[in-house]
Amino acid sequence: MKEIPTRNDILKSSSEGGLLAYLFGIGEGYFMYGETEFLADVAEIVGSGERTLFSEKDWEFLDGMKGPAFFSGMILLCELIPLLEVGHRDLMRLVKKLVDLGGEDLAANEPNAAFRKWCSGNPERVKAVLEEAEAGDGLAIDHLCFALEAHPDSAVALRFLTNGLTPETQLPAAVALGRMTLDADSAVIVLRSLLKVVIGTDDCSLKFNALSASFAILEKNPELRIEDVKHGLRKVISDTSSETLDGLSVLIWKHGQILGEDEVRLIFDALKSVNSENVGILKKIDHATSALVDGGHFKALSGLIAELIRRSQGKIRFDTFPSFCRKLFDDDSRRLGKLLMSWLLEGDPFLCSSLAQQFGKVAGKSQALDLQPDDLPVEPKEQLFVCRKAVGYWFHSPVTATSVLVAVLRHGDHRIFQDVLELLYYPLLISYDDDLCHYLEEILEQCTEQGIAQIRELLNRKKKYLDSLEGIERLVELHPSEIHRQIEHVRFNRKVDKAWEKAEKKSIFYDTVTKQHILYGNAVQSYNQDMEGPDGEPISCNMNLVPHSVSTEFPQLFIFDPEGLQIMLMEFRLEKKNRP
Amino acid sequence: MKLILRQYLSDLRERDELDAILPDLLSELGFNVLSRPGKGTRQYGVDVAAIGPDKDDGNREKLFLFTIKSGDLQRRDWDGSLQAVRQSLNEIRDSYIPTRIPEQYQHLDIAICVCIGGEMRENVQTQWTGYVQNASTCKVCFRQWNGDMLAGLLLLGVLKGELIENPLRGYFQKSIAMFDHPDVAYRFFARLTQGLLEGGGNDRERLKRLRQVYICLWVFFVWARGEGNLEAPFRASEFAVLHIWNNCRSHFGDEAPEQIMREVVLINTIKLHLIIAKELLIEKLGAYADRPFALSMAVGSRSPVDVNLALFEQFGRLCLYGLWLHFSLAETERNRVLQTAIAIINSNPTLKSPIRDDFAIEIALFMILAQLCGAKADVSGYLHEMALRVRFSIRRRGPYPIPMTDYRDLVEHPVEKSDKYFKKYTQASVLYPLLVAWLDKLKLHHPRDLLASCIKSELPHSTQQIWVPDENTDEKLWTGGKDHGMTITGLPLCEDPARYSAFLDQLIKGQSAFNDLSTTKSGFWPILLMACRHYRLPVPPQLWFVGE
Repeated sequence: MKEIPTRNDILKSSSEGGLLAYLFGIGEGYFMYGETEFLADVAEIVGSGERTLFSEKDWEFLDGMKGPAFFSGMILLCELIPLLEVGHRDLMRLVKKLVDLGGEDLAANEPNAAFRKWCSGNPERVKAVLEEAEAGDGLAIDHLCFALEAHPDSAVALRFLTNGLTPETQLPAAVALGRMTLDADSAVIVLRSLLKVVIGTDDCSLKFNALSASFAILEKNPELRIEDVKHGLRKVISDTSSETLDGLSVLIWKHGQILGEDEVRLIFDALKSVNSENVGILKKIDHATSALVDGGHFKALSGLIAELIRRSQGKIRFDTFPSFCRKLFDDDSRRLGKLLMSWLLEGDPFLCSSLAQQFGKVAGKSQALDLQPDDLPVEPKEQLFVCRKAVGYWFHSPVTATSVLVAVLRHGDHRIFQDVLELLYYPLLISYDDDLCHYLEEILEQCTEQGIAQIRELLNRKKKYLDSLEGIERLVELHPSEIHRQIEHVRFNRKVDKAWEKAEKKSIFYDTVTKQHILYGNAVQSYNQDMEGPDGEPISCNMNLVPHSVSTEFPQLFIFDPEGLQIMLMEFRLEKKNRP
Repeated sequence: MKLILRQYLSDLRERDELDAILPDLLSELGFNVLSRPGKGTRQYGVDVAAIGPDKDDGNREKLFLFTIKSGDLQRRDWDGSLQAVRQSLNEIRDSYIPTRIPEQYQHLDIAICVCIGGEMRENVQTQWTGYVQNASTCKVCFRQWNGDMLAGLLLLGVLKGELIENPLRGYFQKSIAMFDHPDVAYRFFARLTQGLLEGGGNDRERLKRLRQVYICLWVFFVWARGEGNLEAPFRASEFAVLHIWNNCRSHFGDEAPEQIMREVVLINTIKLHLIIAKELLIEKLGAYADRPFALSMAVGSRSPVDVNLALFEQFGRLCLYGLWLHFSLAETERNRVLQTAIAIINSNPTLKSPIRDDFAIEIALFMILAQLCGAKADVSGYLHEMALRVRFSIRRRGPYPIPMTDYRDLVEHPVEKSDKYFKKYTQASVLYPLLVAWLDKLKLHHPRDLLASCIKSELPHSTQQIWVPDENTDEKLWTGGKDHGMTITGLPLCEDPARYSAFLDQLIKGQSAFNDLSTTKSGFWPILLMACRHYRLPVPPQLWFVGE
């Protein structure tokens, strides 16, 4: 641990640039000093008036801060704020500045929490803020919620909610009420007041915050009747403005777990009209995944997302909902299989294309679906239909597509087996070797159904076909010339380089780690000149290098007949279910 | 050089090869060739008969009766079968000499010569010596010409002069050395051919040079065949045919002996080209014609463009080979070639999606062949699907045909889907006028309408055109000259089929230059198609419906 700066050190170091600049300069490093003692010294210096944090120079300094340096310094300030003995207005200004500079980062609200902690240290501070808010002071109203939370008193908050002159004053009160822990009697009163506001106000933001607070109260007081809240909800969704949709998305994100089927249906009916430009709302719907799944609403959420993709004609895609996709693909393979089959049978091109892109993103081996007899459509025509859709959309994930065909061969109608087998042979088996053949061999070992046994014939047919190609290596007259090979090689390398650059940009490690390019050897010893060992020497790190790579099988038909393949896949994709 | 020739001679096969080259060799050595090998069995053991000087007997003029054996002469070849050398020698003594020698040569002494591409093996030498001792008379002697001697004669005879001198000898050696880099080998062979044929001189000199090209082509072919790569000799053979044609065309059909001999060399070179074509296209590639994707896979590239280019190249060659067979009245073989071409299309669907606009040439060759075989209906599905595929590629801005032939343009195509790129890469076309004309001819109304409306809506900026020969074409075409011919634009191909058809009829009637081409006058129309394919010029519309 480094030596803790003394009071004098702090004063000396902050004499020129100011205390704020000094603190941001230290950033997270202050943890090395033992925070309590150091922060207490800083708070004391500010309290004594020897240094300030609120001068014009400090604001200018703050305006110049951004990125990780800003957040490191902000965290230090958030630790310091509760210890400060300063006027509430100065502090509110500082807090507001920090929150504004934090932007959309999740850590941006930390200064508000620090302010709440500061308020809780002295009721007089709360009182001062409330009085100014009541008088209509904008800065105080901005901090009203935290002041109310610092000393939770539902009566005081209700006073602001019901008597507030403007929605700006009512809103923080509603939020604070939602966050309070109330006894049963108070909860009834508060809930009633909140719903009154929900129904009565025209201000969308206030309406949703009041509704959200109502659900929060219900969450903490399960004995209360939900019917009243439902009534409020119905009232709220009568209009479909983007503010309303945004409010609803926040509602399911925060309270998805306690929503009943009816409420979810009502909300999702409204959310179906979200369009691709409402990025924020779509993000919130995705954030709601966990709460909704915990609340047993996965199916409804899947329906909503599918509908959003359909309606937007593919502008909204599955990758707009990363949390949902993780749940969909990783959690329950039975659920995944069922859902995918229903979507394939529906055959909506936007939905299925978006799904295909999602499968395409999984590097390496594609995943086999776990499909059971009741997942399949009953009609043989429809069984063949889903097989063609699976091949059409998931051709690039051959094992996934084949798993649908295998399911039909296992549990489907024998009258379509030959068609399914032909589909399996061409285009799948003719295009792919390794993973697909391995998967089919596994299936042959595990399953005994009549349809499956015929896969052996297909594999033999493929082997026979490959045997018939023996000797083609002697047809050298077909080979591209050396110069053509070189040009193609350069082109391919350029393409790989571009893909590599693109991938690097997407990497979460790209900006956080130091990159080194090792030219020779299979081990590296790297010295960090900034870190010293016990003997004062730079610390070194030894690493053995091992090769690592990702491989993917390129479908043969993409080389031999790309246009023919595209046409075939397109036909499968666009085929209508009720085609004569 | 002698080593190359020895290797070449030992690799020659008896039928159509060693016996085909021997008469030319003898002619160059001053022999008077009386009979050349015919088809079927040899005449009482004699493959070639010629009168010439016997170097082993003070250059006395003798009647040489050659019996030819390819490769090495081994014990099993000496005796015990109808084709055995001893049997042939006996037939010559017992039947040919008493009955077949023309009266005017009966006074000459006879040299029965065993001509071997390779060498006489040790284990036959005793039998040979014994036979010669027993059968020699004062009028009949025996001679043995082996590969080493033939190579020496080739150097002294046909290949003497220019080829011995640099730089032409260097070109020849380099073309042989680089056979597995066909582009390079072809370039050197082309320089050799041009070098030989550019020289002036009298008729005899010119004839000698034509023969030199022919012999060099033989050597090149046999060498490359031994190494398993016929690509360069195939291209070289087309080049040789076209240049020899250029040398013969102005006096084609004249009765002058030198002209007749020049035409013999032309015919022999065409025959050699067909031997190479058969070996490459029928025996080698044809063996895989009906195996799905076999030829596509044999390209050995991860680029679909490479597959498309390679397949169209061989496809065009095969169709042209079929047309040569038609010209040679070999109908059964011609029909088999068409079936092979159809099998290749069915097994290699990349042929339904031309990436280059000038693949109109290959498509035209195929359609002409199908037409001459009376099999238009069999191939209508091909054009139907091609029209739909091309339309699909254009509409989705996929790999639609482009007029650029540079590999760099092709391998990246399409780089982007922008209108700017699309317009640049579809600024002109000879493919669509041909396709539409054929769709009309086959009465394929549905794909015709789809393609025509696609051309109208997507390619209004594109200059649809047809190439026709002009009065300069006959001078320039055969040697690859570019500044000749005329392009017809303003085609009504998107309008009523009858109108377009009438336009084409009118166009064909109005262009007399085609009738003045040496190939048209002489009836050697496959040479024109060969030139179009080789030098990448569109097939003129006068030949589109040649079988109608």
